[in-house]
Amino acid sequence: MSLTVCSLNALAAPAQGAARATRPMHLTVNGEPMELPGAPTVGALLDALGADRARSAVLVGDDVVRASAWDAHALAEGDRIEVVTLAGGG
Amino acid sequence: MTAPFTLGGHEFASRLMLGTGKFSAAAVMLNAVKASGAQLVTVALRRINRERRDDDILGPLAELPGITLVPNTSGAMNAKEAFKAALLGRELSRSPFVKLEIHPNPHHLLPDPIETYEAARLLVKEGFIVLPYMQADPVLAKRLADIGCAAVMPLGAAIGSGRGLATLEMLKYILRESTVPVIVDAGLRAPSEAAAALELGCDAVLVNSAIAAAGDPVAMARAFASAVRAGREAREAGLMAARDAAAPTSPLTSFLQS
Repeated sequence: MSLTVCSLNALAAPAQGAARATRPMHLTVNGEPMELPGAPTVGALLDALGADRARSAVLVGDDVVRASAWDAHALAEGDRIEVVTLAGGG
Repeated sequence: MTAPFTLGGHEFASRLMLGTGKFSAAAVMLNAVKASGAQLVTVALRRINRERRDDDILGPLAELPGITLVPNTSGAMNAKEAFKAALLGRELSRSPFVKLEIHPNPHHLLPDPIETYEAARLLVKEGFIVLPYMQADPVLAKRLADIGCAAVMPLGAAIGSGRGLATLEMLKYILRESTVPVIVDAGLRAPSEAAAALELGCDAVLVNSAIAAAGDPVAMARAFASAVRAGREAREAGLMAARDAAAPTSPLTSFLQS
């Protein structure tokens, strides 16, 4: 079920006729650009980031996506996503 | 035994809240939490680290018995951002508490009263137990209590400044009128200042820098715990009235006079 992140090289030369399937989705994750192949979900993004699911919370645009919805929640081109965890603070 | 401290319908024996920022290492922070006896412990949010494994503070903190996490909204510049931060904090901590802080100016970190009020309104409606960090302003304190904040958290002095109870006179006004617990948050440096706040009638204090930046944070956490307990005990015992003139404690008999 884990979706791997395409390397940039692979994305640069998509197989003929498969361009639609492999066209990367452009996201902004924690303020930085990121590309994921196909039709990624929040769950796939977390796996690609190597995030510890039990210690992560996710904001897509202005909406918190709850953990129970991560594997179903489809991301859209241009989505801005924040993946956060708890840290020391006063 | 002093009276328990009730906050948002939850009871706590300790009146010392501890922040977890600025500690040199997670282990020191955990030992300081234990030594402080704090039951309400604030945490912050930050983006996950992609390059290296994050220091997991949630795991060890969650294993300490009797600890309730209070995520803060630090980093939020306005009500909308604070609202989002609070929702994320709740997802991570499973805690109904939120320490609402909106301080856009990094020089003084003073709270924005308008954005704080607006965020508090939204968060109360969303079901949070809202603890707003605020200026020591009795008018704003009343407004925040009126819309359902579980406490008010006026600053003693600027965050991390160690200037103590610089707002003392304003705190007195807040205490005189407040219908919700008053927690002095920020600015304390010495345990004696925490004791003074409790003697004055403050319900609790929140300390972070004074402990995290102490020479020995764990020992300082113990010192603050003692001071808070002493201050509260003194408050409950009832301080004697101050007078303008001396009043003798020994009989002023004249038998020694020749």
